[in-house]
Amino acid sequence: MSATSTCDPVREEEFLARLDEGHRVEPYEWMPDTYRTLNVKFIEMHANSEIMGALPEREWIARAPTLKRKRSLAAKVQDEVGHAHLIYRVAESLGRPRRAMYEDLIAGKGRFHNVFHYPTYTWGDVACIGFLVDGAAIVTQRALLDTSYAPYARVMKRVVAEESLHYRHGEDIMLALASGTDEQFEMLQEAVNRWWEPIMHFFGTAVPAEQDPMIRWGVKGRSNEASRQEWLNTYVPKMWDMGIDTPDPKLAYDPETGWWDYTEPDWDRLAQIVKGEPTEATASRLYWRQLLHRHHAWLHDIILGPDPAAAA
Amino acid sequence: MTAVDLALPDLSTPRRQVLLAIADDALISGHRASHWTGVAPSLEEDLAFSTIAQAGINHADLWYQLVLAGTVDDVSAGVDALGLGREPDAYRHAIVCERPPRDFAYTLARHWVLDRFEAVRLASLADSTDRDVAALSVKLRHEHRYHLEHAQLWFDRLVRGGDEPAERLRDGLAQVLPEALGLFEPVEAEDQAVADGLLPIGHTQLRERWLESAAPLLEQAGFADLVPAADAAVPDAAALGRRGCHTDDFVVDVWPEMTRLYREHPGARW
Amino acid sequence: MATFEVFGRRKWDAPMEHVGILHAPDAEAALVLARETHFRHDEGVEYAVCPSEHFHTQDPTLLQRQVDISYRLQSGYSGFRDKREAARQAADARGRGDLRERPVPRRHGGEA
Ligand SMILES: [Fe+2]
Ligand SMILES: [Fe+2]
Ligand SMILES: [Fe+2]
Repeated sequence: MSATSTCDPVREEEFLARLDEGHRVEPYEWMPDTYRTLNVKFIEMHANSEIMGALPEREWIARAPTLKRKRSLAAKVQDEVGHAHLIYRVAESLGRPRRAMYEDLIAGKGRFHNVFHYPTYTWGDVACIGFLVDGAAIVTQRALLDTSYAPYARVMKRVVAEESLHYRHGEDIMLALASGTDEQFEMLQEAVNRWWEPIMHFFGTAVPAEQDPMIRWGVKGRSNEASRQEWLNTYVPKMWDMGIDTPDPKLAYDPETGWWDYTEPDWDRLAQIVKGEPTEATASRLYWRQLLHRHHAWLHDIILGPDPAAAA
Repeated sequence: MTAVDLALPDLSTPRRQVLLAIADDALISGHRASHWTGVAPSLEEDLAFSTIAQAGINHADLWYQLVLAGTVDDVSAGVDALGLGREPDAYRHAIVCERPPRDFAYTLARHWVLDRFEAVRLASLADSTDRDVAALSVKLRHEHRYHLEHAQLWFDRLVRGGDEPAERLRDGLAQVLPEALGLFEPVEAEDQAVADGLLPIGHTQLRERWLESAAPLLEQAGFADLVPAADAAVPDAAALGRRGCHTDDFVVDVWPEMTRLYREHPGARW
Repeated sequence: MATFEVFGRRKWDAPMEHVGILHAPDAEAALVLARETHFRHDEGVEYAVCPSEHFHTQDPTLLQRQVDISYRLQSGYSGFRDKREAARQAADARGRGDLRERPVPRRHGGEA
């Protein structure tokens, strides 16, 4: 690659300057290696998370308490798979084949968001995943409408539109539990207690925007802390309004500063979850997924068409 | 919250037995199909198959509504009482519907067989003297076109896909086809339902029509030896689902998981 | 001579849309000719062509839904004002109504 070298400091400076002016990058344009690598890493993790997010929720399609919830949950999980489908395509446009990403994921080599490493115990978890975890995803995905990689921003438009259905789906389940029997209420409160820390973790440490390479390279448009604050702004009042308490005694909104104060989550635990040994929930979900995958090796070329990578 | 007083109508009438059989087939096969959501062999197929699962659940709901037809005030609660609140022996689906998904070849074989059955059943029900039944059948027939096309798509590709895929489809069909005969067992008091015109033709005749539609396709695909004989008996293991006899695949596997949450909270709203 | 289907993107964040067809001997020529056939009034920022023989259309009746699928749409969820009110009353009955009194941002976002 001589004529189109991806390592060219002068062009790289120009590229960054154009990003600062709000330029959107198309796949056919020249881009520095760093830009490509950071985007692939981020987008692949996003797509993986849609799949890994579908797995805990799918466990409840079989157990849903009414036929209406059964079909809406199935439809909601279907959308998440659809998001994975759309987002993998974006990573593909940067040169990473979908089959490779997918196979890495189920082999346990792919990265995905911390919140999808946890087990589910009750329908309260379905409410929390559907409203609070999806809510966290909505907040970060909205911020991605400003991402500099044009295909990603275009796909986010569609995903964010579908997420507003998920928002309603989630709030509807929350409200039903909050206004239901004492057992239902407890089921919800306990689940909120369980999900609190994972969600606080989800947004990442409060690394200053200037020091976040994902921001410098125009992948993300907003700092971790700004996203976390936005989530708190929207979802904490919703929970309090329905009589659900938040498990952090320090959590409080300061009307003067417009800022939420909260107990710093245990960041070592986050590192443990995403970088350590897989949790039991993840290990078993991936084990079954992997088994199903291997069991159907005879089918993959039929269902996807021949693998170009294998032919090469 | 007090438990809702929900008096379900008498389910033993011929009309309700017929409708329950249709609804339960849809619910249980939809429930089994939903297994693939999130884990199907490709993302595109995941999306397609999830819709097939949702249709099962959705269509069951519509048929349950006809079972209830004006007998309860709270229709959703009534639908759930039917779909999730009955004892296992009150379900009227055929046993083939309750079998686990096994692998995708078995799943496709069953999907193909069930949808060819559903097509002939809906076509006949479109002539029902019961106007609600006829109207719903026409609607669902339209919806079912997608199921048929989808099933045929993979059926053909597995047949042409080389030795292993064709063999696996053959194995799947060899398991499904004999058990599928259980779909055509008459429901209780079926003669009455036929005499009333609710069922334009009985299940025995439906079986002939289904064979007429499925046999040529099976023969063309090289599965002539698997076509059930016109007088073949339903294997014992797959018999009497229409009378509420079910296997452990339902009683131990599907039913407890599907209904537990509902049953644990009587009268709760979700 | 072959027929090509032409697609264009109006704005950087818009989807590729079908804008028409043109006749050309091959794809290379179609790409050159598409510019003045379909985009001479500044209609877009990007375009692509594909041979019409590779453009497969589905019978549109397959998209007509006869059964209600509103559970897949936002319109399938309604009555939130009442549902929120019911939850507030339940919270009061459980002695948890005071949670609502805590300071919160005056207008919080979200889809509500
Ligand atoms: Fe999503
Ligand atoms: Fe979502
Ligand atoms: Fe079907």
